[in-house]
Amino acid sequence: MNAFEIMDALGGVPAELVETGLQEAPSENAGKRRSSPKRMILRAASAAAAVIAVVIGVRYVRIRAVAGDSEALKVIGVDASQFHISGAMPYDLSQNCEVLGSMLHKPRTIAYAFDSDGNGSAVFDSSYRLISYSSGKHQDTSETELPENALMETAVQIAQRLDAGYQYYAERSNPDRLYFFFRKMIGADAYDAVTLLLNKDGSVRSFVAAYCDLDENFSSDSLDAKIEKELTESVIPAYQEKNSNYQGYEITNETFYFKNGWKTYAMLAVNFEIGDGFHDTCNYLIAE
Amino acid sequence: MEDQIISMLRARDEQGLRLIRDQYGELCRAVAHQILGSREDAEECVNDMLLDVWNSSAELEPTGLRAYLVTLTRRSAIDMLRAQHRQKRGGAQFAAALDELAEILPADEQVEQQVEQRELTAALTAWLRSLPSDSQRIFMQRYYFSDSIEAIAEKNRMSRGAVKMALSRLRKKLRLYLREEGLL
Repeated sequence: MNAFEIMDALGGVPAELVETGLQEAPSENAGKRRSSPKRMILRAASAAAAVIAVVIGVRYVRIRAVAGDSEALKVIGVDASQFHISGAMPYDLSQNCEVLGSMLHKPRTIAYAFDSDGNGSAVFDSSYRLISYSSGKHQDTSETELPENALMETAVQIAQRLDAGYQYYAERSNPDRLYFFFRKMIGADAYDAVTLLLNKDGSVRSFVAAYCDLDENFSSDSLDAKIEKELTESVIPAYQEKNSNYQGYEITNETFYFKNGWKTYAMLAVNFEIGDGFHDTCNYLIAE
Repeated sequence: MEDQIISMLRARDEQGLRLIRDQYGELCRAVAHQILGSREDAEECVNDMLLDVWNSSAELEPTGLRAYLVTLTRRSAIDMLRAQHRQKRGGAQFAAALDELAEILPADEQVEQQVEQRELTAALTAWLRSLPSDSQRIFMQRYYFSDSIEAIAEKNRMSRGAVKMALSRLRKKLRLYLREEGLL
């Protein structure tokens, strides 16, 4: 069989499939995907990555942005006591140029990813095994839904200081927590990104800064095989255990590969079907 | 509009063809142009399509006219492309000789080929229907309409990288599926 034969055979598919190809994506998806924090994170910083340090307390902002080299992301000048979190922050992770993150009570966490709606999160240990995740069942809020309070002022100040764009989301299950995403364009197609999960009282629950190169042309059978293995042996069983109405899964088009240093990662966006047409999207980071 | 056109064609009213050209000509030209990369060739395919639809007007279905017209145009464009490739490989005379020889192929062999193609079409249809609508759309845009990666990214509000990645995954999925079905 050759490509012509497949092309020929495609010519015989029913009209409804032909019509599908004539459509555009529903407009409700617009913007949301474009502004996906995951995308921001994945597109974070290439050659001229800025180094951003963020210190936040209640109504207290101190930001330092320092030019850095392309080989490592260094979070500097951060006084852990300013964070209302426990556990040590993994500042030294810049050594291996990995995706950097931290989360409450997860001092060994080195990666922190958001799902395609920008809300669900997955946390990984230093072996890239999934530690925990929260699903994407969060409310994407509009600006008018949030009160004008000191926290918002803080967010605006951060954005101004970074000369960055920002977005925020409330966590549906816990409206007292807000996600803030700050992104700064540093190249034609590159961002620095800082993400903060704040409690409404302004205390920091977690934050992540990211630095990686997105590899748009990457393809790897070995990594794909590893993804399948992780999915079947780890991710799916863990999901099923927590969701009795699990019906199936699909790897979505929002999956990316990216390289960081010499390693390649797949940022896997998985849609879990959980009944009544409802999908729950989660992200997983898998290293080659 | 489709009903009106079909009624006209069934009544052998050439105004139906003019309406098709007005309503769908641009779309069909674009489809052919994506495949052939030549405006003149694309125009020829649209003319072929009009002739085909005129000749098959009695069999026209009451719905899905647009998709049918696109299918006819695409088929014509692929035939033309195939002929052009043959010419490139062996020159016009080689292509002509191939076509002449094809006439003497045993009928059962041609039937066999048609059956194989129908099987492949059925398999592709089943596979496409098993995909989520986003994936269906992207696959059809690329491999049916030959849309560029940029155009697909724009239509689907995705990055170019995400489109490439999605297509790469779909190709792998399709390869696996066709192998399972014994077609590869």
